Amino acid sequence: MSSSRISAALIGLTIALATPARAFDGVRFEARVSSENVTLDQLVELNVILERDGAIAMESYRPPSVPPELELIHNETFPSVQQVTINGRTWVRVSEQHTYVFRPKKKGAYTIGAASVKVGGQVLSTKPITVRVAPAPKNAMSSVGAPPSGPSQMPIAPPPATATGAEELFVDAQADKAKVWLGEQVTATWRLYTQTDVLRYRPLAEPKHEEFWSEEIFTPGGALPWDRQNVKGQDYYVSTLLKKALFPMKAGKHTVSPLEAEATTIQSAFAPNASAVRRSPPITVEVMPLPTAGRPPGFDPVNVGQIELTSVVDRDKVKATDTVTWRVTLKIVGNVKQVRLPPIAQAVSGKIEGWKIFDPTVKERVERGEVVRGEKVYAILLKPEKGGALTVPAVSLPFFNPSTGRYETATTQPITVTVDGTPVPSTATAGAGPAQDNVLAQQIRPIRNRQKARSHVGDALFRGRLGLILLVAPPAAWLLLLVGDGIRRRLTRETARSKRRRARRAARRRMRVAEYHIKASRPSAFFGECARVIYEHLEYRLGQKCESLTLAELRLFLEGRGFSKEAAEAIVKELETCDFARFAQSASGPGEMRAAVRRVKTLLDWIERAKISTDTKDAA
Amino acid sequence: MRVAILALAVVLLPSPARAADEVTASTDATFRRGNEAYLHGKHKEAVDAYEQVAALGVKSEDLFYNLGNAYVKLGQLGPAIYNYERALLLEPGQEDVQFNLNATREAAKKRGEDRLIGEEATPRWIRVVQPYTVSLLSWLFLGAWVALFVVLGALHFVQPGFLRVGLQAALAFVAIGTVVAGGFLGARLYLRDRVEQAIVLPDAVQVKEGPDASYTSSFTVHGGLKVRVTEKEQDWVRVRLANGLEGWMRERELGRL
Repeated sequence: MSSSRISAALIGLTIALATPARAFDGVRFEARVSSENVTLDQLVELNVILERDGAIAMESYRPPSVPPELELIHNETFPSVQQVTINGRTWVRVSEQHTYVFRPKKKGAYTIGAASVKVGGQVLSTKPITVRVAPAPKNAMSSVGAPPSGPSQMPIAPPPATATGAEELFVDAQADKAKVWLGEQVTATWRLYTQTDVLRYRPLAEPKHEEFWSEEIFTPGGALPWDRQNVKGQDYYVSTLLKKALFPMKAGKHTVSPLEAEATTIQSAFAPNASAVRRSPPITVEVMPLPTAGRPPGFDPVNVGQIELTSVVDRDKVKATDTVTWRVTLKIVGNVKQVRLPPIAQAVSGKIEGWKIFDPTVKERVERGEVVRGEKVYAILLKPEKGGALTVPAVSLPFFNPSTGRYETATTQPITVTVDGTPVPSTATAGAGPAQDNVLAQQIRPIRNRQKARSHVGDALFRGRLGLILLVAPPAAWLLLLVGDGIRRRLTRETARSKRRRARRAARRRMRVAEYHIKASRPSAFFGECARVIYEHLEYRLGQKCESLTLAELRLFLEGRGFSKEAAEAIVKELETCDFARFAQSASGPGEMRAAVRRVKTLLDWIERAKISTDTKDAA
Repeated sequence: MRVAILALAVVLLPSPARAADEVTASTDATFRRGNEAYLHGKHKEAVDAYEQVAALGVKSEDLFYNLGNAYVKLGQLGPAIYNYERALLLEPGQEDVQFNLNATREAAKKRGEDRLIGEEATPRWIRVVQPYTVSLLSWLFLGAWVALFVVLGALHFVQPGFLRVGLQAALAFVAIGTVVAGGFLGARLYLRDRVEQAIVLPDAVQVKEGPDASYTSSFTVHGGLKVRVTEKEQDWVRVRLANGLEGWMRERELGRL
């Protein structure tokens, strides 16, 4: 490359690198909409942003033209000035954001025209934007940026009794029950009611409920889901702001403090947005203490709800040195986190005999639906202390069922486990030294009394022969397949050389057969073989059969395809000789036949060497 | 006659495979002896037997777990935690090992807790790959690897059509799976073999400012604490705590994971 070309390339590169910096330092003017696909219940927010260097003067701004099907309901401008330092250079960046909120009136596709601005003597325009408006789902209302969706899946509660229908915007709070038992679920819901479009919503104060254990059932993620409801003759849009399951922990009359929220509503196209703070009424719940009559012994007041118990063991036969895992499962409708099984020694009926019991591990799963439910699994390790048939005892759990208002008891059945052999008596504290007062030594799970120090499967696989085979064999097999396929294709490909080789092989085979005929004194068969070898060789060279031609036609044909007259004559003559000899066998002795072999070989050589014309018209 | 003598010599000479079998049988017997000793309350004997098996290079979660238990019985919590960690490293999610490790850590805290203020969060990649065993990831990777070539091979024979399109989609899916499983396996092996983690073995160790006993003590660490080894100088190693503190301690006071 010459030096001038290198210079040109460097200059080009410099310009290319400098271009983005120029664009960054200059003016940015663009328009964006909140969504190009909306439904009739949604609003469209258009933002036109102008960003420029403070040193560049702005002369005029023209807002975009908007079709009448998009009704302008709000318009505001946010100017801002910022000092920016980039690569040691400080400059003032002035930006101006024009926000337009439209309400679509009809379904269809509408194009918002270009906004334009004159900056530093240059006119800049935004790109037109097309907004597609689809029909609104039922019971929906306007919300900027909300995805097109149907009404909320929350059940619609009855309208608040305190509402007059005169309020434009309010927050209501309701509990599904006013009077509950201690520990019984009460569901509290906070809803926003509005008659105008809500642009933004922000919670200011969460409700406080110190006397209750709570589980959150619903909070809106992103846009608020809306339903429609009539309150005292007025149509309202309603959205659930918060829903909680509350479990009272003390008897008496308790109050849940109000929820406070700020909602920004859209008033009109040219009036500023209005922000209003609304507070829900408090919720008061009367909590009744659990009845003393009929309270079973060992009842724990946290066990309120509907409880089912199941008991299983992981094996019913066990070696004396091994352990059994016993799982007691509580299926709970109520406060899953609080409901509990008492220490296992108290939960079982009778004495646990023949087992050493280790502390349980507890796993729980909570489903937070309209009704809180879930399960708690207590996994308890049992180590046999004697052989034979041992019983894993039945477990019982008294609880209070608020739906019936009575105490009930959930019970499991005892399970029999057969212990094979006699366990070695535990002498854990027999060791001298630190183990004597080692509390931990009594708590830990027992050793694994296996016969082999098992090596790890993964390591064996990864580092072992099998791993190596699995790693190498598939690509090797695939490569072998590719190579084999290549060879097969090459072998099956028809080349001039392979054709010649095949024809020669066939000719040699026939000549060997002819030699046998000489030895066997079969002149007829010999000459027949000679004629066939000539015809086959001609077919290989000329690409067509010649046996159907008369000898005169064959002569002409051969000459037409490029054989010399001499060669054509010799071939025809030899074929004549063969015909004659086949039918006059007495004239052909072994000497004559050997001479014929030599002649045929010469002819085959001529046939191979002949310069064959590809033009078959002459031959025809 | 000469041939017969040679054949007899070949039969009688100990082959490498036979020698390996004998070693395995011997380690298994020692492991069983350790179990017997443990069950009879002879925990020191159990520790000796298990350590003997471990010294032969046997890596087994059962061995490390039992060894951890034996150390707990002897009241040596640092080595117990070290062996439980080794068992979990081989196969995470073993409930009994985790239970005993948690209980031992709780007990170790009572003897002396290291409050690591400003503790760094474990890097994300370690948190992602640590729960999976080398075993599982090896199977996943090799499974995907074999499947990849099976699909490639099948594509070779299938004529254009729906089946071929399906196979091509499967190929893309399996190729992505192979890359992901391979990446996970690589990261897991790197974590196991290259990220040098260790457990403090004695109940309390003075960490020095330099690699010699004459240096002043910077701080104290307690048995069971997990540290990272960043440097080695003779029989001293430089360790880094989770909160960034660094210092030197003797190598023998650490159990390398």
